[in-house]
Amino acid sequence: MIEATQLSKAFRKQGTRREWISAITDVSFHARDGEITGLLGPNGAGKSTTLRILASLLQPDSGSAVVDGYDVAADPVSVRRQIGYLPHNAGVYPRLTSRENLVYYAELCGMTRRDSETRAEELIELMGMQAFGDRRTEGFSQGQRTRVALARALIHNPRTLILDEPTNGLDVMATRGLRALLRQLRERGHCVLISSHIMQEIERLSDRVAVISDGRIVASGSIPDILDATACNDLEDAYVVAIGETPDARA
Amino acid sequence: MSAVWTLIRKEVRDNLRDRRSLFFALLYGPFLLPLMMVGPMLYNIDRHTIDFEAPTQIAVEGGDHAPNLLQFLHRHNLDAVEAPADYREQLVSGELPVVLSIAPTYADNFANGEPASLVIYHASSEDESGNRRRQLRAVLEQYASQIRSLRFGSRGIDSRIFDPLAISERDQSDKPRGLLFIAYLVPFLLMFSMLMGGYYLAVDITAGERERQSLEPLLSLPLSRYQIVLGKYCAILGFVGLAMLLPLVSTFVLLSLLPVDLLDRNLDFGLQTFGIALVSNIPTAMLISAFMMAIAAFTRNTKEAQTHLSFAMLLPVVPFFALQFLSVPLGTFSMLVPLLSQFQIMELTVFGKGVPLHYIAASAAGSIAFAAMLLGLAVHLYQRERILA
Repeated sequence: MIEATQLSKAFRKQGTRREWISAITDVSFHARDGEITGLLGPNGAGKSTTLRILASLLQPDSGSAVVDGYDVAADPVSVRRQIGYLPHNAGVYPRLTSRENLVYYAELCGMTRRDSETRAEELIELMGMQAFGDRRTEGFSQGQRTRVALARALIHNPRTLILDEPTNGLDVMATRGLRALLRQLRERGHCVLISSHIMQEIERLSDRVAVISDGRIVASGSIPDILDATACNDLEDAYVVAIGETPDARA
Repeated sequence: MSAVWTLIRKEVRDNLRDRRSLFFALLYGPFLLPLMMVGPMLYNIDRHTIDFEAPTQIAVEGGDHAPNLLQFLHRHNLDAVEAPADYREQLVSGELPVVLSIAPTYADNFANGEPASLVIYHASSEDESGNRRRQLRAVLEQYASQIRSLRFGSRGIDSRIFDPLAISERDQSDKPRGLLFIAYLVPFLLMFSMLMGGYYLAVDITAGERERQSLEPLLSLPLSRYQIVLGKYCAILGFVGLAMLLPLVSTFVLLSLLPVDLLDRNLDFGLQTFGIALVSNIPTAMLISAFMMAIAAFTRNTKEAQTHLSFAMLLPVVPFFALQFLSVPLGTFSMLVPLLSQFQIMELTVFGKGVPLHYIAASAAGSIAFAAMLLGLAVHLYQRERILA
């Protein structure tokens, strides 16, 4: 479970000493176990910053975030034990094979060599990576890299998943496979938080949605709740209204 | 600790697959560099060395005119053979190194006490010819001196009255200036090799990891930044250590190929010297690894890291020149200065003066303290949020 309360974060403007740019302001939302929560927002809205704070990679300037009962600022290592994190870019090691990438992370998470190899084999099967499981990741397509990175995020069977644009670069079949996997994880009681700027993606997968725009949460709740709050009939219009634009009938 | 070991194993395996890292760590510093530095020295010494003990054939034209001279040459390991008719062409083509031509008037001139004419034909463009010419000339001068003594002696005159001064030189310096270079060769070579050996690994596992964006998922694992830095540091240290150990072995082998009296009898390049070089440079390896780790962690991408570390390549040059051109006092205080102390320890060892244990301890303490500071700086840099920027 993730509880974000009034998170704010500003970054120093590049090349200046005193100018700051606010990335997120007063961001609050909940992501529950056994649910998929979507963080929806345009590019540059503050999605990745929020997820990085939740993954304990950034310290919030104010506010707090608790993941499975651990405060991200006070106990980051415990938070990291609970989460599987997929960053915006896959970031896999090009000179290692897919399997070696997985085993490396498993061992870093404290698993034994044998358990790491068994788990890697399971995930290679689960993610349909048999064809490239023992190939070095150099020259992989974006989709293949994302699959390796996603399998890596799942390697230690984390309770909570924080996935930054997980369908990035995936083709139709791989995206469908990912959706099925995430639903499966939801059924098993995992808390899944995904970010995306693709509304249809969020709509198809999420039980709850938090819409973020200009670093602020502008709408949150279940999809019917958001439709009610914005007095719209579909999520696309609701999204447009929520981020402060006027829905255009021609669009 | 198992996480640190996992990190080390991965970084080493990853970089063993990178041919560039491998080339610089295992081939360039350990073998090419010593060959490039010591090789020409060996070659030059060998080329300009004359072995007076080895029997050598010497082509002689008109040997019949001077049988006594030929006997003298034979006693001095120069065996006369008849020079071929086209010896001038053969000298030009390098087939013959030198020819001694004895004039037909030699015997008469010699008997009359007049200067008897000898011509040494040689080719100055050929090294071998130069060596043989010097050897022949030295033996002939010895013969002339002997004949001079005999002639004066037969007239009741001591020939030494023609040598009013007996000049000899004795160098009292304990470290002759020209030889300092050779004494500094080993630490210079080791430091340069260490920098080259760790260079690509340091760039790849710090700045390279940031650029590949594999650092962000790594930092999201339940590891402390200290563990991550330590793992990466140990991997660099492994490569740097190897880049120190291998050239030490190869330089030892190369220098042991030198004939004992060729370098200088005062220089000690024995096993003990190399043992001390190993012990005194283990802290240098720790320092250089930490230095590269900190520099590469500070930079944002591989290009920036490569630029910064290229300047670091000048590092071993600083003590080299400081000691060559400045008068740096030797003592416990100077032993605390990293890099400089390793040069000074080598200077003492190579000149066979013995290195006090507290010098080695001070040198190690200074280098390890600096290494710890730089490692602390690297941990600090990894703790900053900007490491993800």
